[in-house]
Amino acid sequence: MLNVRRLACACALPLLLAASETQAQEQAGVPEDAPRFDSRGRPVAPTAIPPKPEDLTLPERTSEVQPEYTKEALDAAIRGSVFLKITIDVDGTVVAATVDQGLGHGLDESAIAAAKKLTFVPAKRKGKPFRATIRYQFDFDFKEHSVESARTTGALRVTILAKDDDAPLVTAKVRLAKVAAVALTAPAPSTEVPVDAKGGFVVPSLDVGEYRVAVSAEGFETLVVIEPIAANEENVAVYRLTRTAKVAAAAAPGVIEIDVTGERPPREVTRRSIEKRELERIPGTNGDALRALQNLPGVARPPGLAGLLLVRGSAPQDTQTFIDGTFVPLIYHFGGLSSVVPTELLNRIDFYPGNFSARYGRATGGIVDAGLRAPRNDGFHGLVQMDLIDARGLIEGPIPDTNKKWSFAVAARRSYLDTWLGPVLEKAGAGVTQAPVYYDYQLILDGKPKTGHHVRTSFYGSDDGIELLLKQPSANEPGLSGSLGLKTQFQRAAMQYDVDLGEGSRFDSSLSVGRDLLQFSLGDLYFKVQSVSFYGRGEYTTRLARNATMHVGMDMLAGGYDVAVRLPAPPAPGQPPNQPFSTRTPQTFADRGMNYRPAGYVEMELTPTPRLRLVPGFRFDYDKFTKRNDFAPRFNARYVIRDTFPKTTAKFGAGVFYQPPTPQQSLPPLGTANLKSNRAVHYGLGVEQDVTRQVELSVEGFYKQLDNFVGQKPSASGTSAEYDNSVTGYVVGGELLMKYKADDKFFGWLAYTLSRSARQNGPNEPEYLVNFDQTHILTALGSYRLGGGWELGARFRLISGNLITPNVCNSAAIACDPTRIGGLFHGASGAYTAIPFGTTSSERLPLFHSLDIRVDKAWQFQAWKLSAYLDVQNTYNNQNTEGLSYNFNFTQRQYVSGLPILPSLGIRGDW
Amino acid sequence: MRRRRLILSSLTALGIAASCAASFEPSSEVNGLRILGVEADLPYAKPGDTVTLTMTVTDGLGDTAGKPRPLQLVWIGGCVNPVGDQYYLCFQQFAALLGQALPGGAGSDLVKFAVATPEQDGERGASSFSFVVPEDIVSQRPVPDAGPHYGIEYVFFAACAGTIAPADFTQTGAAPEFPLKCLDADGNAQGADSFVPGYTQIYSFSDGRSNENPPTTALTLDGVELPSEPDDAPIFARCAVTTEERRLSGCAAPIGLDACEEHKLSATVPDVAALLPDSGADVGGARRETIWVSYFSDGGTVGAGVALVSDSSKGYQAEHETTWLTPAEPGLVSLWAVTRDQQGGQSVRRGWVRIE
Repeated sequence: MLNVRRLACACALPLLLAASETQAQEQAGVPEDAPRFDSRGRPVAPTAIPPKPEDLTLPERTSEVQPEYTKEALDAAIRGSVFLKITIDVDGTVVAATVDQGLGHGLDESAIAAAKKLTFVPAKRKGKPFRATIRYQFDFDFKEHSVESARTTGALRVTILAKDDDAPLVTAKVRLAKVAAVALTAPAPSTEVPVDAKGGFVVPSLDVGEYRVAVSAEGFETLVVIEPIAANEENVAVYRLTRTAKVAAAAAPGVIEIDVTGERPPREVTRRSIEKRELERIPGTNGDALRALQNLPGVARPPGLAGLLLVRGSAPQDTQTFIDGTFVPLIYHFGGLSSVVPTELLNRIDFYPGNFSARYGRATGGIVDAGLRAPRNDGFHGLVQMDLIDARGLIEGPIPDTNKKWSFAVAARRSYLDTWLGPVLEKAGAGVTQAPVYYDYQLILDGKPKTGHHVRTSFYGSDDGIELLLKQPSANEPGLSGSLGLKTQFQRAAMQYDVDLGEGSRFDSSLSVGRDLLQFSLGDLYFKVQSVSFYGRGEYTTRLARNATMHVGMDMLAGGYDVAVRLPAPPAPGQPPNQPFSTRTPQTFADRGMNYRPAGYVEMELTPTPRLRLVPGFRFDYDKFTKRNDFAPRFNARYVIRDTFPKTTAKFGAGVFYQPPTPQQSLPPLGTANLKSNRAVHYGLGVEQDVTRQVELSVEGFYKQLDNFVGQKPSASGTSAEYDNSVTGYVVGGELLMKYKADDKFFGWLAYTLSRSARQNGPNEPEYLVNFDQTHILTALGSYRLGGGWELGARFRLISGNLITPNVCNSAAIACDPTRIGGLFHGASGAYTAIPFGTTSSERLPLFHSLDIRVDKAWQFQAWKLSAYLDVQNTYNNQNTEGLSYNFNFTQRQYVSGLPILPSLGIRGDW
Repeated sequence: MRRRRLILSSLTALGIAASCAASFEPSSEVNGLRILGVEADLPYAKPGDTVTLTMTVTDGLGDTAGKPRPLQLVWIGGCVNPVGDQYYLCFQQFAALLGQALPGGAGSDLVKFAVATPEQDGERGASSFSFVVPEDIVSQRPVPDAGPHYGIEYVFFAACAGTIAPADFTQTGAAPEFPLKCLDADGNAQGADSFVPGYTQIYSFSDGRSNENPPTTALTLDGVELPSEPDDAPIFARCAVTTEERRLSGCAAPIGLDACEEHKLSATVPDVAALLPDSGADVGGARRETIWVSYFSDGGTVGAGVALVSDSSKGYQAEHETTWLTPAEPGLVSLWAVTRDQQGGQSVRRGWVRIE
């Protein structure tokens, strides 16, 4: 997460007469409007400059020090300038610093500490150094300015662009004023300079001297630059303006910085965030934001194109996903083809692999919280994107007559798989009633009705459907044939209201109402769940004391359901299939009712010292189905071992996490009454280290103790399954992330995870590793902007193979008996029932490795931008193994290869 | 249009390649010892009913002269309502019964040894086994919270081109190994091409429901009914493409074999799918049983080995034929169709073809 601290230092003219020899003169001080200089030593906001004695040389700063932005100031949203008086000795060191005009909230002390680390070329009079006192200014601002200029000769020629995507800012307003050559004179009047259609301006004839150029544009930080104009030279400059915080988050394609404002330190041990540029450009993901998460440490590789999130050895269903703080039942179309919310509508994705805050619950794995961005309000914009699978469009802009306080975004996507996959399936022998197709849609209204208040209303949803007639049954599951139908839908209407109550207090709330549908049918079997869901969350934050902030919150997941099922009881984990699934006696069941899961939590943020942050908290959950109360205490801590570069932070967390059983496990007659919630205890210990100013290293060890996990056993009645809380286990591992923080040219990281995830189905049962246990996961990726609109990226992955329970021994193994009978003929169905060879997860598939490459090219036109990409997965076509296949009677086996080389093309236009 | 066809063909080939990367011998090719069907006269029996199981077994491997080998068969019944219907929980009882049935034991009505002669090879009824369903098969089980109240009886069987002998009751994996083995004349354990163990089950429901076997009234090749006796076998020309070459042509074997005539092999099965009890009507209305037909041949190449006859919701599928390519060598060839429903019903039909 970016924690941008804008530091602008301003070296005031020394209190010239305040050299150490003349105390009285020093106390006379400097004028309030002493000129300021930027970090390059150029004045940025001159108003009046004191007279400069002819033989006097000013101190010249030779080092740069950034003061710490204190949490207290961040919490209180303090910004502004701290003015110091600093005394520079004859050797250029700062020997004294006092506050002349402060901001409080710890920023004065921070500025003094930073000032004392500054070094200067001392002030000189007639070439002789002397001790001088100057007025020095530190600007504290959340935002970052960026100025790039290249000067040649001539008049003043400037192009004004948006920093993130180099879009010309044709609406910018420019005021130009000559800087008075002599201080303490009145500033020269400024003149407005018109900006042309390319976002530039030229002033062909300017008097020699320095000019103050102030550039403002709606939705961008105002930029003030001093430009020198030399005789017979043209000064050519490019200004890149940074979007204001919310607009930056809302900005369109290209680089969008996530959480540009000073970010509150995390309440979790580990929060991993991916910048929007990274989300869109990671090779092998097709620019899909949620798929990008699979490249972070702690996340195992799912098979093929599956969108499963396997977090720190937990099953996919153990990780919860939120969109804008609202729980959603699915995040991928057709299990992994693409996310249900397009990347360009997201402004951040926070991923908590463990030890997450008490504000999250009902999960024993991890949390993914994807935030929708605010629509742009600096005019009307849009995009159209097409690739081989789907097409999508987006329109956004301010709502008229609201003084740009309200903005909107409308987006929609439709796949066109049906246009080519339907005929392919027909040709392959299937009867296609409805070819596979998916949609998603989003509507966002975002506004700030008054200062400190933020309201957002959104409506979004997703719809997937396919219907086939399989005319050629499988030899091993002959009953699973005929009509196959799948339909998944969800819609959410959500409202967010956040208000800053002042003095460190705020209230954040969200409320959503939605409808979900999951329907699957194959042959005579079906599963249909329809529900109306309600999700509400509210959190009140208040500062109890200078070093103590409290968060109190509650959330509620509730809704009515309507379920109809006709399925055989699933085989118990670790037990072999008994006979073809489709020929087992099914249960037919229909029910409707209500469920609710309220929860409350309290979390404290304590900073007993500036370096130490303690976050104790607890969460209380109730589940109507199980009628259980779960109390989950949690504790996280961070300690800054070294607070200056290279910064070092240690972190620790421990906590209890509950996840209620699924309805089919806990709701009789399908499930078993009186189950307890699955329980996990997370421990994490790690360190974050700055390696360079651009590279940071994070190393973390974790351990998860799992108990009371729901297991399944055969029932005496035969038809149904019985569940209990007999499963235990653990996950242990370590994660390393070395990340090059994204800059204008490059982003990339190296992630490595070492882990082991084991389960035990009862106290006397053998321990086994889960099938998605991947001991080593190494991911290296990077993307570089080559210039001219070209960007080239690559991703390489080297990952342990998944575990399997084979039915046939590996013929290469010495112990493999070629006469072993691997299957029993099932007379009623004609299929063979496998007799597993070896214990559960007894064989690991070969190592997975793959190189993915992505090339992007953008063309900038006057009013719009065109971009195209080629994303090639598995570039060298490695035959990675995803599983085993067997012959009909389980006497032979073969590896099943995963994705071959898979190129994907996309094109996009933005305006 | 041509380009569209090309694209579709390419994508289809890609899909096929992806879905059947393995080049295993298809189950429809009978190259070893195979049990093709075990037909129960009462797939759903009532407590106290006598049920007879009939086995169809064929030896596609044969002896050194290519003739079917004599087979030893065994039937073991009497395993009722194992927990969770798990078949392997019967093995303990199964081993005890076998001990009683072997020479020197007390004997058991629940175990039957038999022999299938070469003349019975591939014929329906090579061996049969009858047993009485216990009166309390349903009542001894608790009534489930959902789903029908039923009882289940497992019957195990094996066919061996050698001598059947008890095996160690070992458990190398999640389920124990089958506790029988098949030994050749030298006492060596035989593999799957000479030894086929299996099991089937008979359900009994408290509501007394029953199920009829779906009939296979005829087996036709190119619309002509095949005879059940070899002497009347119609004559077809051989296809000179070798078995290995056929396999190399891809998963869908007939594709690309332009030199050979592709024949339509079809089982005649009437529309007999019964309405499924308890099928519910919440999703797509009431369901009927699914019926499918499996095709086998001991020569030549069958296209799709299994075809759908009746879909649960879309009903009868009139086109349930497959394709067949004649073998490269002359001689008599047997073709079988085994029609099954999902409630344990089945019927077997054999036809003969002469290749010249």
